[in-house]
Amino acid sequence: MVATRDAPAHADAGSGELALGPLSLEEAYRRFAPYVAAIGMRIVGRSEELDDLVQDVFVEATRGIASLAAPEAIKGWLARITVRTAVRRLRRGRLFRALHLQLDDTRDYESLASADATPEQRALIARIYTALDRLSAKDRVAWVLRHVQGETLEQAAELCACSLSTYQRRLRRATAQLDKELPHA
Amino acid sequence: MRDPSTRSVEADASARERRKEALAHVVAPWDAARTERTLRALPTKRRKKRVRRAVGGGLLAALLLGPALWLGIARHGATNDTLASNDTRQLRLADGSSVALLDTRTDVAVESVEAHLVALHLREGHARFEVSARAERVFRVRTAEVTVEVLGTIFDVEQREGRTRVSVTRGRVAVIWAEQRDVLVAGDERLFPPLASAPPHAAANDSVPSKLAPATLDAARRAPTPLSAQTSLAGAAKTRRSPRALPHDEPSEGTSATSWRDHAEGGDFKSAVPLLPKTDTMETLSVSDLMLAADAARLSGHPRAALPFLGRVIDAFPEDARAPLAAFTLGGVLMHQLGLPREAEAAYGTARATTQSVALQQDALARQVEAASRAGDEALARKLAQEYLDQYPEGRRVNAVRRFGRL
Repeated sequence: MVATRDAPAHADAGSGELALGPLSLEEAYRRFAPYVAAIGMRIVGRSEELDDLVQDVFVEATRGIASLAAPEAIKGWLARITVRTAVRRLRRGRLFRALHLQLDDTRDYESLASADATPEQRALIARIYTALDRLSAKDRVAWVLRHVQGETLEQAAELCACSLSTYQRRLRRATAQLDKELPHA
Repeated sequence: MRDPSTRSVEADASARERRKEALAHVVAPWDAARTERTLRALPTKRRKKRVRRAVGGGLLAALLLGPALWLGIARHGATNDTLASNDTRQLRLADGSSVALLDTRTDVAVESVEAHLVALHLREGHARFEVSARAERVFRVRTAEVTVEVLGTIFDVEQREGRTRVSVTRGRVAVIWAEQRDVLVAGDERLFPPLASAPPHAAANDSVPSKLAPATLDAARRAPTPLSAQTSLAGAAKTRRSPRALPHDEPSEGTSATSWRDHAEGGDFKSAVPLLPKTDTMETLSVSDLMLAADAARLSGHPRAALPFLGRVIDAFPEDARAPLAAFTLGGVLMHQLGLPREAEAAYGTARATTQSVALQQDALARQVEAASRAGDEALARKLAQEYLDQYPEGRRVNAVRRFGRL
């Protein structure tokens, strides 16, 4: 199994690499599914939800892929859909848990880490994601995009489809909450 | 000597750096095989999405029109809440249940979708209902003649010319009509209402149908203590009783049930816990009540109090679709809340042995691996982990299983 990491959503936008021309869904899927999975995994934090999440993203993409004005922007466009889809899943999961409709709500966040992570790093990742579970979906996404995905403020705001000031407000709120829950961790 | 504020700033910076380094190791277990597998399933997903959207619109319309429908005001114009259209053959509900429309005139409407109740109205035609097991939710289908109540099963309902045919593929259902009630199990198929000469099977208000009473009483006598709930787990799978013997969904008869149930159903578990039925009165509780009581206990920080209720479901209602779920839940309580991994491993084993759900079997086996590992039984953990990897090489918990099984 090859672990997937990818560059931030817009890092190579416009570089020519993404000048794909009109893509079929299948082509787009083969090329970008790992990238979508990487973003989705960092936001949602559950490997078992990845298949559904990636498929949902591309199903939604089928409704707009033909009309995309600038095909070179496809990567960033898929990233925006991924963020939107992940937020929906997080909210739905929270609702299901509140209604006790979720069969298994235990989280195995240590398994998020790659094989080369140390036990301390695994434990820290688990602690961070457990703390993220207590944030609102939007605050969680704001923090993950900046600190896990490595987006710039402007790129992250665009992915969240909000203004820069709104994004910064969410990020501050999330950071403050995490600093409070994970002092010196 | 540096001042404390400088040390604090340095500690924060160091912590941020540690977080950054750790988070760089967050990866998605995704490879080309997973891309191809999910790509192959994409057309199915698209179809399901379309159907779900249609169902979602139907549900919304039904919720908006619900009161009017109940009053019959909008009955003649109630097309907006209709789930079925002639070109839609399979509908999936938000709770994971599905409805297959088996002829072109099938007309199914949604009457209620709540955490504890999904109610559908089969106005005409023939449909197959595949109901996902949800511990706290009753799934109800009514026709002009009867109401069918189920949990975790597959059954057909056909409404035609003043009668309703009900056939059960898996699990069990209760059929209620006029002042009467009957229970059908897998393989049963009957027309309702029965012909006038046929004697009623049971009175509607009987919480225990008379023909079921002896076995029910036998099961009820075996109300376990918390300890026996744990120790009898392994035997639960082997000592199954007749599925007809158990009053699974009837309301409880206990006098104090109303007040604790009111609290628990309203989500106020803390208030419910002091009022929960005592062990010696537990035999009057239905499976729904037992599961609700267990939830009230475990979710309000009283995990030990949940044990007898879960144990009772497993021991006294082994044929109920919720029994494996109760065993799985018991495993979680024992392992995560009470720190008893060895007992948890047995509970997960029971869940795995008794469920027909492949997803639950898979999850239970993964949890068995974890429980065995936490109990220090490395040989068992490794054996179970290998079993998991053999059965589910692309399973949802492969990483965790490898780690706990040291593979």
